[in-house]
Amino acid sequence: MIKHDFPSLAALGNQLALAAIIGMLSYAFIDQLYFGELPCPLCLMQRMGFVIIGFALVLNIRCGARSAHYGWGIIGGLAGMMVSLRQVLLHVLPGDKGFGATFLELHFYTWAFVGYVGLIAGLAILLMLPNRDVRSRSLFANSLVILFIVIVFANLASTLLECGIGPCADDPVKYEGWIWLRTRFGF
Amino acid sequence: MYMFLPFLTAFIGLVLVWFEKRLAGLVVLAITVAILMFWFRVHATDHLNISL
Repeated sequence: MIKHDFPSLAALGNQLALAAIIGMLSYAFIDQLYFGELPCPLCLMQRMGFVIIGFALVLNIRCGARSAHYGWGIIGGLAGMMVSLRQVLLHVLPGDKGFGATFLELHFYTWAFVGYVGLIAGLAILLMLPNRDVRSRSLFANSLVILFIVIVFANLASTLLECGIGPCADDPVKYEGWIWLRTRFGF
Repeated sequence: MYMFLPFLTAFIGLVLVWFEKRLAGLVVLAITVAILMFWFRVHATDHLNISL
């Protein structure tokens, strides 16, 4: 019997949504490392919102789909949406150039808002589908989950290097944690 | 504020879920969401000096 990687629509939806989140968080890292734009505190919170939705999807993929997992994903999405909407409103006045670079003519926080709307709608649709066979141990599913865990760890390391253990600067321009480490241990 | 904290709890939770500790993972996920909400409230009301 042939074993399919995506035995149900819900399995396909969960893995594609996780892939989309990995893509978004990876692009945020490209912007941070290649273009040298450090994430502001609100930007970090928006990353966190995506991490929470991804966490819920990983729960579905590793332990099987449950409405409780989707529920936490939706709560994470709403929290992230609140943060991104806050940042949109901070820069909504005419003449305001906004914060940071743009991607396809929209700022990242606006894209984050669009992303949360899409993901919450996606979770709502996945909730309507039958829950069977979402739990997966395929190579694709395992790779996605490992990649996601690595990206979350990279965010942890990057936040520590950027902010240290104190508060992050509103408009960060240097890795304060990294500078603290270098002066503390002299390298 | 310890801004790395929610990433740390999320990372710990994901490792737990990888080893199929579902309930422990859910508890850590709830803690992560709580930290994010608390963090946003503090940042919005004190740090940015705006009233929500």
